[in-house]
Amino acid sequence: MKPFARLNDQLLRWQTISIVWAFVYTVVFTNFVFAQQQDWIQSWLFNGRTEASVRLGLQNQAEQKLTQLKEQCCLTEEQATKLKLAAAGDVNRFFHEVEQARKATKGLDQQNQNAVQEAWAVVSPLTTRLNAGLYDEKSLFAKVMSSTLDAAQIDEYKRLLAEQLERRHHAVVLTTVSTIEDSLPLIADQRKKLVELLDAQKVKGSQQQGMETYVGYAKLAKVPEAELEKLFDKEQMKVLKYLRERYAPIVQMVDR
Amino acid sequence: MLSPVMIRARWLFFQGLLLSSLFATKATYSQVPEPPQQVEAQQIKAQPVEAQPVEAQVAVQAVEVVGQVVVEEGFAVAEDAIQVFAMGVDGDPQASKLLSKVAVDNALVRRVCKLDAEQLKELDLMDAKWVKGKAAARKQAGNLAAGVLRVFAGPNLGGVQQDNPAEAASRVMTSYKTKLKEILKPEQFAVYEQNVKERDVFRCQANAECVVAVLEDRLSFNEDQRKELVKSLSEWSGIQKMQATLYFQNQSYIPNLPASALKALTPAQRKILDGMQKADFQFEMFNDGQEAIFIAQ
Repeated sequence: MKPFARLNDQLLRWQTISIVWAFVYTVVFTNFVFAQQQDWIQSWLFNGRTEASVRLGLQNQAEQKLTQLKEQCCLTEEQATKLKLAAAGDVNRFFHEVEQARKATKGLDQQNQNAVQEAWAVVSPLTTRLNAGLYDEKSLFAKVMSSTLDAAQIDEYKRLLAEQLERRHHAVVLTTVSTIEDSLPLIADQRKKLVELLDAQKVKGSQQQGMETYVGYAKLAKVPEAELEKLFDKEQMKVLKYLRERYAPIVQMVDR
Repeated sequence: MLSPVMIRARWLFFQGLLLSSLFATKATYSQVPEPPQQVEAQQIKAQPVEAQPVEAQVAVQAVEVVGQVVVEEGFAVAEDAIQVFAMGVDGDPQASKLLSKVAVDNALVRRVCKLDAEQLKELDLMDAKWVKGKAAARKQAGNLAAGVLRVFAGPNLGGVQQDNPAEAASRVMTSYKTKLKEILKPEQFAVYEQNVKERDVFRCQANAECVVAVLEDRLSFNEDQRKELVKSLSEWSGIQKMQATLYFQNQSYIPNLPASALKALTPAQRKILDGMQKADFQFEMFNDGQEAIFIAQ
């Protein structure tokens, strides 16, 4: 029994040493490998989605936009083909920049705050573009459109965009009035007239991301006080005055 | 020499160590750090109520009764029970939010129900003190151990559960409506209910318009689709609690919407919609929490 027991002891010692080594190796190696393999673009820019699904989403959006343009601006087949190519160009250009950003963020040390900040500075503009949609006025799509469509088609397109912006602002006005009702009671007629008053106030152009939410309050701040006094009683006006003063500084930002 | 049991124990210990190290490493790298901008966005400044005016509406009568509500200078005017911007009820933001709801409805009742002097007096009793009393009621855990602990350690220990803000709001508003029903004549109460219903319908429509405006950016609707979508979304029960304007600020997200409300979409539009990221922004997340929340600007 004795030689067998010694052998068993020896084996156990070797086993223990090898397991400890395996543990150390696993921690060090996997840390290194994961750090190298981590795709920050997928985490930050795509919010966990795959590149293929984001690409497909963008292509579908372009397809949808084209379908709408065909219907509303009566595009010819030739115009549609050119625009389709332009949209594909925008998507390719975007993913080319994504690839550059991926290279710049490869092997990022997440413990190093400066490195994280620098990486984010690279990814952030892409996030903004992706969130806003790729086919804005700086896109190839927009440039090709302005050179391909005739004057009547362009006018029609501009009219459609203006209508869409107006609908967005109207939606914000409605939610603003609804939120105001959390602070002061409105009777049906007051609600209706307040919406009309706010809709009548115009703010310029498309808003930068985030500011659109304040369009309703900016319009409230722009309404002449006398107009509001015709609609609301003294106590209601206290709340409205408070809101108007509070949001007055926003008018300039929204009205750019 | 080690016994077989010890040998097995050591085996298991090291195997466990190895496995846990693997999991720990994977867990570390699956937790992606938030990008700086998102971290900033999460630092929504939850200001203590004492530090910044809450848009709580406090009946002036409530100020007199409770005497502890700090009213922002210049807003305390005595004629009516509408809204002054207060600093909260005893520093209790949840009660302040509830008081706000009650005060607004009190003011609505005054405007639409043509109350007599007696009714006005009774309405005034639903003030900050009343709201605080209703909001303070908390549920107690029903288990035996908690009951025994309460006997020895007092009512605040042994399984007293903190109230859920949504439940507290529901309880206060249910009590409010019950009390209101006692105060008002049936026809007056019907007028009040009609006005509340109109307000709720308006909110649903406003949120539905917002959602459609957000979706329109990506999906390009025609006029009929737009109208049908607004109608079906405003009839959907989930729309009322939605903080819809936040989807303008967070354009990469759209709300989770039920298929029943999206019948107007074409298969191609559904495909795009299905591929978009979803997030639910609701009022409870921002306004009805334990603390009044202000976004740092």
